[in-house]
Amino acid sequence: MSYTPDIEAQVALDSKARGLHWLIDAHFSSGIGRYTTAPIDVVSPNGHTYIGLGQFISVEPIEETADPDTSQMTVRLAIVNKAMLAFLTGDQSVYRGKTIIFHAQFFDRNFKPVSQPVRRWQGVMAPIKIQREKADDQTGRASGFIELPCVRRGMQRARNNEGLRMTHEQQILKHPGDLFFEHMSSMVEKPQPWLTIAFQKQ
Amino acid sequence: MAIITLPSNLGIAEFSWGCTDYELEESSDATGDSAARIIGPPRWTAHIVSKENMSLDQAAKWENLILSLRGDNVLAMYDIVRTEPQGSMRGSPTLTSTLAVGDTSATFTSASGTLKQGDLLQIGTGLGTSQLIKVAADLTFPATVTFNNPIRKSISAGAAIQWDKPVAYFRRVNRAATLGTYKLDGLGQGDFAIDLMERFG
Repeated sequence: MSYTPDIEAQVALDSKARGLHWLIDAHFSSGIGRYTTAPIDVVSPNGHTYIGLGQFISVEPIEETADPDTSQMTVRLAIVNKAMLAFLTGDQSVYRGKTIIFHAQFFDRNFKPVSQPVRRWQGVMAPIKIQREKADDQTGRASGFIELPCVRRGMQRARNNEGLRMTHEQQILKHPGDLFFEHMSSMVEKPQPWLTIAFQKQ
Repeated sequence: MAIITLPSNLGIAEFSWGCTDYELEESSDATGDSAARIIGPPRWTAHIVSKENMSLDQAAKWENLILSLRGDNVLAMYDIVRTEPQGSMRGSPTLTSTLAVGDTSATFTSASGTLKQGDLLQIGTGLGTSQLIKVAADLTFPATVTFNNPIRKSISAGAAIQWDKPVAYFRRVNRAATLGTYKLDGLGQGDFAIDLMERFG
């Protein structure tokens, strides 16, 4: 998936002062949690308020590749946003296997969000891990953080015969104009119920 | 969380007001071209130091102030020199139209007189729902007020404009603040210092 910035984003990119933040939609079973890596609350163009967690939440670099990608992406949380922590450390059924979406958005020199948020990654939440650093021998201080691994939907299926799989990007490089694989990644990531012939004949 | 107000007759000997930016500087070795990667909106900072030798009664105010700024308690601090505008604007002005994130200008309703560059105003009231701004250029009403720093959270039309001791909300950042020093003669106490960093939510 390539990214063509809209006009406002291009202006921000060309200027000498700009920033980028992630808008995160976490579709918990009890409702959608909206968070951002910006240090202040951000109201998106569609009117949703994203809670500004700033440095207390970090998102791994998102990579783009033409190869079949079965990698994970991890969100790290410090123990600050109690509501989000309550979700993640509570019943797994609230978040496990639920959708999480990452949108990128630029802001200008006045820290004003500009451009439409662009969806850059979508997957599902996996059970959390708690990482603890070894305590300092002298001071006894230790630190820890919570990791929320996120995986692409359909990753288990995509992992089978990973090396043999082709992507749309690879196919059009090899055979320009051939759209055979065009919808493959969306078919892998968004499984559709398949009605059997017997069912259709009913 | 409690909001602490600045005690009167505190005995301040030194006071400074500042601003901290959060930016990463990117530059090219080859061309010398540079750009700033903005991480977050700027924050006001303040630094207050007590008189060197105060009576124990007065020093107790400092002790109490330092101790009360624990945890997430904040100090509603105003610029102790610029307590009101140098311009002639007084009365009860309000914000004419809603301010959006990133705005650096505003119009006021029921405002008359002048404002001078450097005057401080508080738009709105309360922690997280107000912002302290510094007027960027002289003006005579009716006029648009330009200011620093940019608005970081939307403020609704009709919000009050506080010009008398406008405050921002600060946390103490020197976590190991000393509770002053006793003087050799045993009669006084002084040398308190507090570093403050703005908090906006």
